[in-house]
Amino acid sequence: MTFWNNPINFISTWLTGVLTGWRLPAALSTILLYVVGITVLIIFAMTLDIGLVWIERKVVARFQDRLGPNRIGPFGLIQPVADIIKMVIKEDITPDGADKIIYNIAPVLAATSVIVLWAILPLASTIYGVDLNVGLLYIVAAGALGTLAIIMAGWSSNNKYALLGAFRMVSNMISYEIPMVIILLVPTILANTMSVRGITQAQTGMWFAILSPLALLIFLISAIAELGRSPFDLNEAESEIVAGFHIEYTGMKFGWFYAGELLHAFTFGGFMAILFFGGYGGFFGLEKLAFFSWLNIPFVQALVFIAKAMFGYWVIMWIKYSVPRIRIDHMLAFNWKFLVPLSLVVLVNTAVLNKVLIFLPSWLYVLGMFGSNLVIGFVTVEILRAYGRKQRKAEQKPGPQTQTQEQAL
Amino acid sequence: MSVEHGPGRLRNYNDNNSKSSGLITGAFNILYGKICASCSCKTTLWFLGAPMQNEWLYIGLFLVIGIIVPVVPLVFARLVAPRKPNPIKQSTYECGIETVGDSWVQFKAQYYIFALVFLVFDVESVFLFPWALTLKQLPLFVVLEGVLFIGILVTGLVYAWRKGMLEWV
Amino acid sequence: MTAEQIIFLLTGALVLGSAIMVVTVRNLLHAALWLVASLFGVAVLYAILQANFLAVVQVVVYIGAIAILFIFAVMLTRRELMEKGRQTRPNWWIPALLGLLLLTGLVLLILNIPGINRTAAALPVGLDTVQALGTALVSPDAYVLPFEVASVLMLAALVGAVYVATVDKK
Repeated sequence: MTFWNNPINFISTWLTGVLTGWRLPAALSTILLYVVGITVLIIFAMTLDIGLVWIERKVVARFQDRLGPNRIGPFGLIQPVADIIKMVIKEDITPDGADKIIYNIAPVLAATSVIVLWAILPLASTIYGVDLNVGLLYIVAAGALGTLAIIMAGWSSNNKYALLGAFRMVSNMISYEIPMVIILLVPTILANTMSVRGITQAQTGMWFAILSPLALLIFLISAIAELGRSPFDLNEAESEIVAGFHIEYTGMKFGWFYAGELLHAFTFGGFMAILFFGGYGGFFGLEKLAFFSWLNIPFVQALVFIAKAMFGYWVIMWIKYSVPRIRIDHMLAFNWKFLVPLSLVVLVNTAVLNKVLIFLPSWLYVLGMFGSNLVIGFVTVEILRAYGRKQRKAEQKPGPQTQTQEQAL
Repeated sequence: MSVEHGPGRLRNYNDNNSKSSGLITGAFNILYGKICASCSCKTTLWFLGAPMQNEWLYIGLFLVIGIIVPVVPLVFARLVAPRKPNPIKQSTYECGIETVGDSWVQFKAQYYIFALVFLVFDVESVFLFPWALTLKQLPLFVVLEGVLFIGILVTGLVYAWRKGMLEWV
Repeated sequence: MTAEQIIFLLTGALVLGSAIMVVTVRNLLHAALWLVASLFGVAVLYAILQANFLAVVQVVVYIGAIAILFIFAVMLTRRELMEKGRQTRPNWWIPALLGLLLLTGLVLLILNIPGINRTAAALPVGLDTVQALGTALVSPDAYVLPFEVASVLMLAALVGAVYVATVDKK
């Protein structure tokens, strides 16, 4: 095991040697090592978060045909640092009548619910926190903590708009959790494991995005709704209920809501990469060739993972800045009447076909799974078109009012 | 050294091999080996050998540090930022005008109904996870058992739909 | 006292302490949040027992669904979120005494179970608990019938909720 093959293990072995040399009891040195590793990982996540602020502002500017921040530092790269300094030195105003304890816990909980996701995110085959064997449900559990933080924020602000925003946001988030959990079953079935690392390693042959593109689509939509980003951001609709559940938050507390949302978006981009695009690996077996063996170096794998996660984040931003906001009743109808039945159909289809087609040669298997998704997509579109046609005909049919007008004349 | 996880293999839960390629659990193995060699540390072995999984210890520490990290800038802001409270600044925000009525809103029953339907489907999906993990090993009828499970709950969804429970009025 | 015992005692204190706060605190929403803390303590207990699946399911279902349902229900029905009036009944020492007697009886009973001081056997190496749970849930000679009946139970719950909600709207 050299440094390049397995950097984290190398450093931890060396540090353990140092600590045991200082006669520390073994358990304490384990805990100390864990703490050092966790702090490094969290600082990496936070630094990435700062970079994401810059990326977000530049990208939204380009979508809106303007330049974005370019004054502070070259290309505005120091802008996020200026933002953080500004947020820290702003006055922290607590509205009167607010429930002080819950008011202060909410932003911390919102940020924590995103940070704990990094414990199971594998950056490379040897760079990860823990390999939990129920990783996928852990993701949903962290989302549950985020939902709680939003209710706490909305209720404790003692403000009508905050409360309304919080109710809507929580209804939205819990509704879209159902298709997400059902779709998380699809990689579980295809990889036969719930652990995030196991799913990444099961995609060395073929990406799950090709085996089940509908699952990717539904996961993308539910993820955007879970994040509360546009087009599902009626809850923070700046033009309607001002800032929704975080109206009464100022300074760094607001900063944690905002930065937490961006980091959450990036983390979900990372999970999309892991669940559907092969994560840090997934080169279709290319890395086994001697010429491409450098693809197995952990640092290269980490770069590949971050590139794929950036791509997922880019798609999420692209959708945010191109599509108008959806009304709350349309949002919920879309979820319960369209996404949930569709995701159940995709799940049943994957389960049955995975069992039936497993005996065929692999290219036929891939073709079968992909083809079945296309068939389901086509049938869905046809059903929607027929429904739309029926609706349009019902609207164009002359109603009873026109008949009475004719009689009056 | 990483363990290949093919789609057909049972994932080894406690496999020492997979542990040593993890972040710090590799250190744990090496520690365990070192301490084991010197036999005067029976108590330390017992302490380390307690059946508490290192995964959850790591996640517990992650949670603790994940709570501390957001708190640090907030504490720093409290030290650095100005504090000049006055009644106007602290009054509730309502688009720049004086507030009208209490800050209590009539909570629509529709939120509660959506939460109920969500609860039933959440429990259903959680039941499906152990089922999904057995599909590779067991024959086809297991898949059909799961389809039956899903079918019964789809009937429930259709019932709620027809009764108008999924409308936002 | 092993580290595991210390952590167990701390978690038990969290669960029981939060439960006591749930019933004594005046503000209903604070009570709901203490309930969340108590449920989280139970999830930690599951994690100590290496029941990974149950620990995450506890957080997902109990905290992510049921606690939120509680909070929605509290907000839906109560205009005033504070309990007013006395917290205790006039003759509160009678139920307290009965409770104490019950606790003593239960503790004596549990301490006399043979084998109470045994430590748990370690799980066999290579056992994936979730997969074992799944196999148990779907094999015909294990728990497949309760598995299917559970779905019927949830259907009944859904139908009941729909019925109650429809009656309310009228």
